[in-house]
Amino acid sequence: MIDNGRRAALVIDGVFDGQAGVQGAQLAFIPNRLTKRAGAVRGAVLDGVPVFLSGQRDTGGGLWTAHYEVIE
Amino acid sequence: MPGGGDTGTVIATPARTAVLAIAQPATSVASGVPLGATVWSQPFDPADHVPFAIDFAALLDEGEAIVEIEAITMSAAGAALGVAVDDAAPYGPIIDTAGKKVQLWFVVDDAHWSETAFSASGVQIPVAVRVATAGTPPKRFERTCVLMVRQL
Repeated sequence: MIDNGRRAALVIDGVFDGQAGVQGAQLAFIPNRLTKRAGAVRGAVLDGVPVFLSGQRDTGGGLWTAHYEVIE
Repeated sequence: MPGGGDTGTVIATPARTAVLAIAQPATSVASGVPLGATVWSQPFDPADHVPFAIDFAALLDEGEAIVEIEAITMSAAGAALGVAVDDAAPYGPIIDTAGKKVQLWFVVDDAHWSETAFSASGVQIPVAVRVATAGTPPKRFERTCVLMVRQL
């Protein structure tokens, strides 16, 4: 009945390297690398799997959310 | 973990009760949150452990009652910051005895209590709740409510 989501290893080059929150096809993270703009990067690695990011948005408090799709 | 049909006495205060509208406004509440999502008026400190409720009464017909909580879905934002819906007894989700409200207890993993995201204006954490009714025929409603988590 309760799905509290999960935390997973996420690497976004120049933006984030750490544990992100994941729920369904959406992930959330607080950028901790500052060499690229969070909304501009499309590629990432989630739990060791390459993914494509879309719809990144700053939701306040420094938190960013994005949709992801696994790159086949 | 309690079942989705557990009932009990809802003790969440009015400030911690999100009253759903019949016709949800199409105004933006926050980026990435469904338009018009109801925001709990009382913010939540990350170290709090208190009940919050959702009042579905306006959506229900005369005499209709919620009989099951089918799903509660924490957002990715909540998962990222250690915010969860507590499922441990006696804090698990319940339906009030009148079948109009649902009560949830939120808890934040203590490893995240000092997150910088919770400082200043804090973060908005969406939570979706889906319920089924005993109407004729039965109905299903899913609504997203928003919990403001910040240091108080």
